Amino acid sequence: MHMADALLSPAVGVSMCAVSAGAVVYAAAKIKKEELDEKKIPVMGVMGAFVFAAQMINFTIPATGSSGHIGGGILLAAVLGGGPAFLTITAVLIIQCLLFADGGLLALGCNVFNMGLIPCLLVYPLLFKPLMGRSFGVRRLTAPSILGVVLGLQLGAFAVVVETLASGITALPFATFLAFMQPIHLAIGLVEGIVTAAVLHFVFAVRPELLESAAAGTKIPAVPMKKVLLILGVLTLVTAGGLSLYASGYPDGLEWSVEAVTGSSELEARGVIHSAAAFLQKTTALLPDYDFPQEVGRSAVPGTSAAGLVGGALTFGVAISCGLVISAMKKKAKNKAA
Amino acid sequence: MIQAQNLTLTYPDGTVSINDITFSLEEGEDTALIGANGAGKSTLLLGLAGVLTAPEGALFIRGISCVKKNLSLIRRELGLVFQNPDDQLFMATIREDLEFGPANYGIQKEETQKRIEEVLSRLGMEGLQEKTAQKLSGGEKRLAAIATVLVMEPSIMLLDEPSSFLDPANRRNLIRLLSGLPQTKLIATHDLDLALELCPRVILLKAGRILADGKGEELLRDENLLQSCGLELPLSLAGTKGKCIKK
Amino acid sequence: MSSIQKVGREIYLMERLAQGTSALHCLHPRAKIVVTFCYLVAVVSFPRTEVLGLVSFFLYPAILIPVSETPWKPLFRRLLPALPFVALGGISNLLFDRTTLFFLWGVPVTSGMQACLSIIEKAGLSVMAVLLLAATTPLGELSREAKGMKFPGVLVDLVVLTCRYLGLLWEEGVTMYTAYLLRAPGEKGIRMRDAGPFLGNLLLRSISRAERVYRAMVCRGFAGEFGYCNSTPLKPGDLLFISAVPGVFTFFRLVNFPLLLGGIFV
Repeated sequence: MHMADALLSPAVGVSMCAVSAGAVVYAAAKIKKEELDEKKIPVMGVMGAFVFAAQMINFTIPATGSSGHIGGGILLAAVLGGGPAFLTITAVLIIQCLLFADGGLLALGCNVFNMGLIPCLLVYPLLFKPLMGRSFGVRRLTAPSILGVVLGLQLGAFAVVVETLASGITALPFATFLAFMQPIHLAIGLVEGIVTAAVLHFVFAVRPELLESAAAGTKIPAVPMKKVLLILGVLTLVTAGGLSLYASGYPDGLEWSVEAVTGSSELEARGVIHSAAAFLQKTTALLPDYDFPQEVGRSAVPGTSAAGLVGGALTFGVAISCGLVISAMKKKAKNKAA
Repeated sequence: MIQAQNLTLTYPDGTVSINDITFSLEEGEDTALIGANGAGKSTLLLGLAGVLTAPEGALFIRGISCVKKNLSLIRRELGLVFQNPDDQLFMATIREDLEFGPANYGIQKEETQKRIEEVLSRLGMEGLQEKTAQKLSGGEKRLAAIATVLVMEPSIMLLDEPSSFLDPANRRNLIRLLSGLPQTKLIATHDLDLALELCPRVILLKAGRILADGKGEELLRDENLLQSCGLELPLSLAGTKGKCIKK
Repeated sequence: MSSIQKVGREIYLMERLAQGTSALHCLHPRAKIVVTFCYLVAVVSFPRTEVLGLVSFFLYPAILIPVSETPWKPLFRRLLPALPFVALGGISNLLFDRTTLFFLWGVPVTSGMQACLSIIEKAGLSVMAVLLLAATTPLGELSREAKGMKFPGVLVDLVVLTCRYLGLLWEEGVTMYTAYLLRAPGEKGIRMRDAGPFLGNLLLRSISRAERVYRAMVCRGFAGEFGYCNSTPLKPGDLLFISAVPGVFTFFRLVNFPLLLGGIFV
């Protein structure tokens, strides 16, 4: 589920970075305030390493530009508590980005949101913990694990779809994108859920105090389950409708979702979408001359296509030769010194 | 140097490991801490370094009371060498491991480099600096772990089973090295021969209590006493059974 | 498990590379972070179907890789796995965006193709920029700068700690896996039903190990935050780098240099 920089627009990238940064600062401040038990820090580091290693197993999702693999968010949250788990996943994502080029630097905001905030700060306190109840027991670990993981991954995958479409770099229609992402993450979620349950069973059997202290650290909001599900459902619909207004248009997917939400006619819808999206882009764009994706198709035509090719090849050639010349110069200097 | 009065140490789950012990250690008084597995040797060392939950009773290191706010100061004075060198070597290279301690105390780079060079040459470890801990042999790891503590220039060295994981030649090296160190040493060990060679004083622990505290020469020849704690005579004395003190 | 063994080698690869002494390594880490960020923003901000403008941005890695004496093979090894996923995203453009823009030697070039190529270029460039940063700046310096830029200390330390523990976990995992296989002859991997206890055990052992390592760190003065030698001030060379290079990026972003160059010859 790691998103790459190439599929993001600066607007989406930076705004998600802001959202995630806010959450990180909040979680870190909370930990400092509660004077984290010294023992927890190495546990956080190890759990991070563990999840990192587990995420090395990748499933490719064809045609979406994304990969599928286990998130680990719920497992972490169960062992560490929501806030520390969120920070741990953030650390893992940073390492994956910097040292392994897995997920872009600008895309960190999105990735932290999709794979960290959603499972650790939303699904864990709102679904997992209430389902667990006050005590941990062998039977009680399985259902919450599976449900929590599945929901976390579904929401995360959905967020990826929305963020990618809002960036307007890919041509995939909304419905098709969803049709790829959701079922595959459902399958991954089931597997991860079962493995999470198994691991938690084991941990509970050997060192129950770990799970219990994590649970103690997280407060269950006093909201009844039905309300929570209703709220989550409404949020989903609103984001689907609202963000599809924002996303740049490819007729099929947009029409479908806009009609589903607003029921307005095709032409009207397009007009609304264009002006709304254009307005949003103008106010949030970093570079004033960033072309609105809709018009690019017409304006980016290199009129002199031959000139374009020649120029491109030449520039590329210049780049490579610079590189080779510098390498040669360095080698010479080394040989001289030797 | 170390003064413990009615010291009790408990694990987080409530088990008492060190039960109401009183002892003191003077400067230069190298002491061996001996006892069977589970007697509490490692726990005592960890407790002295202020790593476990707050000790009950009084504990003073060089006159400083072992409470949370003084821990940073205390750890500067106490160098604890862990039983497993892998626990102590966690950076990418040995050089970084050596720099870790001084950096935490804000010691400037030049001073740190000077100390590192001194320690490396004293231990005969020049050339191991850039290696990864994973690639070292058991003996080299042990030396590296000791080096990481020596660069901090502590006044007291606590060593937990220093001769474990070592072959005879490396063990001999270690004994030679330790006997040349100026720091006051408290060594927790099963290796009673090492204790006999290095430590004039011996404290015998059993089930978290001090059973005996006295001259190594005498204690380590007392076969009955040792056997009552699950220990045996040092190998070098095994042939002198006839000369043992039998009570 | 072989991928876990690879992880062990690869973490230390970046750390080893970052210990180099080239001109790029000697630049202040803040300069490198700022410039990398500007580069990424410039690259990512190109319109969807821009292909030519991006080519100028190849100059950055092409020059910096030899200057930093980073071996290009490991860099490309890191780059290649990242590309296919993005290329697949590009394929969606090929399939769904079929507006023909122009003809090249009789072959219709669709905006979908341009978009696909653009995505691949952006992916390669952005990944290389980040890898260059990681390969020329030790993690310790990156953490120090992050703290200087007011990132939450807890998070920065967690990043460094997690890196350390990756190595630990790797060792434990390999040992346990070997022990398992020796008692399960004929199995090629861990059976599904053993996955829970195996992973759980690995986890708990790693946690115990991590607690011991943490104690060792604490005994050597670690007080919750990694201590760093004082940050050096920015030198004139660093300031020049920070001001001139993003200026070049802005130029190449706004001016379609390859097109101009081609126009001279054609």
